[in-house]
Amino acid sequence: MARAIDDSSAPAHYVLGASRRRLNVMDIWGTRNVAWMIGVRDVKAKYKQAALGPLWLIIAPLGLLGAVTVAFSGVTDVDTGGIPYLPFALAGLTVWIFIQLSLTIGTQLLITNSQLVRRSPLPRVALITGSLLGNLPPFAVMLTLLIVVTAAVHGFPVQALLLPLLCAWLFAFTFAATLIVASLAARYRDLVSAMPLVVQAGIFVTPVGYGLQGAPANIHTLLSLNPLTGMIEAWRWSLLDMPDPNLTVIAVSLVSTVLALVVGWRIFGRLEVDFADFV
Amino acid sequence: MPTSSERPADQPELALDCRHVTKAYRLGETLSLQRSLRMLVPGHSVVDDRFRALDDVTFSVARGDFFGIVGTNGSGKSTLTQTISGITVPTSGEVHIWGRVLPLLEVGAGFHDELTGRENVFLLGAILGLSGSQVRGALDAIVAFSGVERHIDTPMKRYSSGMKARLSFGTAICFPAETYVFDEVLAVVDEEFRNQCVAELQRLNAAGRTIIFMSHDLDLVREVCRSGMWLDKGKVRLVGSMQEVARAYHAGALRHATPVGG
Repeated sequence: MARAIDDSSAPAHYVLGASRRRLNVMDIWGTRNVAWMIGVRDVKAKYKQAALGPLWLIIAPLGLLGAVTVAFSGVTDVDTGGIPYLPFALAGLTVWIFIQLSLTIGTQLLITNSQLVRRSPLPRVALITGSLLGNLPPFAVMLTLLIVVTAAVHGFPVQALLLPLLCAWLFAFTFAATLIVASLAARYRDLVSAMPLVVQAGIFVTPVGYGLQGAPANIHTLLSLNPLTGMIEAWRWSLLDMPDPNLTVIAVSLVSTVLALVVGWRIFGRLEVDFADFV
Repeated sequence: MPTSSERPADQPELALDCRHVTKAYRLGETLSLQRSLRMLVPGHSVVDDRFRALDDVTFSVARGDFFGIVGTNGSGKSTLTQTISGITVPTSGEVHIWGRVLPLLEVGAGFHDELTGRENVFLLGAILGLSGSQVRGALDAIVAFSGVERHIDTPMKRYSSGMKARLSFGTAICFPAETYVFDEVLAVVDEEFRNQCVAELQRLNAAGRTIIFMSHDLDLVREVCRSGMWLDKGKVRLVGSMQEVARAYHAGALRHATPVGG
């Protein structure tokens, strides 16, 4: 929705037109109310009419944890730098599950909400932030699990205090990636078909169940370019005191996050004006 | 106050002002494998067929008016409602709006089947930019108007289509706004509820609210609207008093009795 041009007591004056720039970074904050409602809607809708309901919040990550443990640590020796495998894998999974979930839902976001997009003046950015808010419960469960397990078997180093920053970084990256996939998928449905593939292959080329150090040399470059690699390195260093984190890879990841934010915001701003014509 | 230069001097109080609004769509599939392959062939470009759903539409609605828009299917009425509600952006031209616009373009638009009636009212309120207290303030009126007291905490998927329509209308009508936009939505409800809605719209209008009402039901439009516009194939054919517009539209529709697709 366009913003009011004047804010006096008379009815606000809005102008809608092709040349008007509609999107502003402040809209993210300005639409928090509706984003919250969308997030709550998604969470409620997800666990209604399900026998196990919110129990899936626990079952789903445990299932993935089991699969990752069997696939990586069961088949080969994973070099964790002396960290017990359970918290090591959980750190990777906490990051991975949130991004995987957000991208999967994000690709379909404008399409499953086409009714809203076509028939109501919903601020579109609120759909993105709302969907991320709706993915917070599974993330919170994972994070709690990670913290409890780490406290029990390993203990925290002092740099664990950076956790809020790490979470902010994860949210920023996920927000940027969701902006990109959601707006592109509204136009190019190819993304809807491609995303399951990306997500399924992604867990093998991201050090979720294994570490960057122990990875074979031939995929080391590929792993270093994956923006999630540096993020997971940073999480493991901060929470688990992983020795010798790869600073270059962390820097690559930070730079890609900033880049993704800039690019994602521009793509979204360009495409959101005619979402209603494409979904 | 909006600056006086933004308004024509002879019409001091406007709710809506459409200036040369054009909305063009590409005809046919915008993307397909066939299309992608064709673009790869050297020297073979894909020509876009553009279709103007709205073609240089210029009109204004005075504040407090009850304004009807008539036209056959495919005349651009729905595109116009989407444009003035801020859902889609015109290809060229500008829409000026004074005050909050509350659109009801489809029965149940914005509702989610898994949520209860109450949750849906709050969701829709948030979508329309209302605060929680504004929604709470309207809730009693919405429930009373739509007559769904006993079902307000039941998931929407167990509502009958009539109950859904009632709640949808109740929400749209009871929320505060300066301008209300209705697109062909009264067609789906029964006579009794339709009369209730019309009475409520007239009450809102008497209280100074602007109502913009799209329909191809000429009798209804004649009954409720003061002034109006005839939209034909994306172009404005006539703007004037509703009686005059309805008469011309009726005559025109008889003359070109060929149905227009879309």
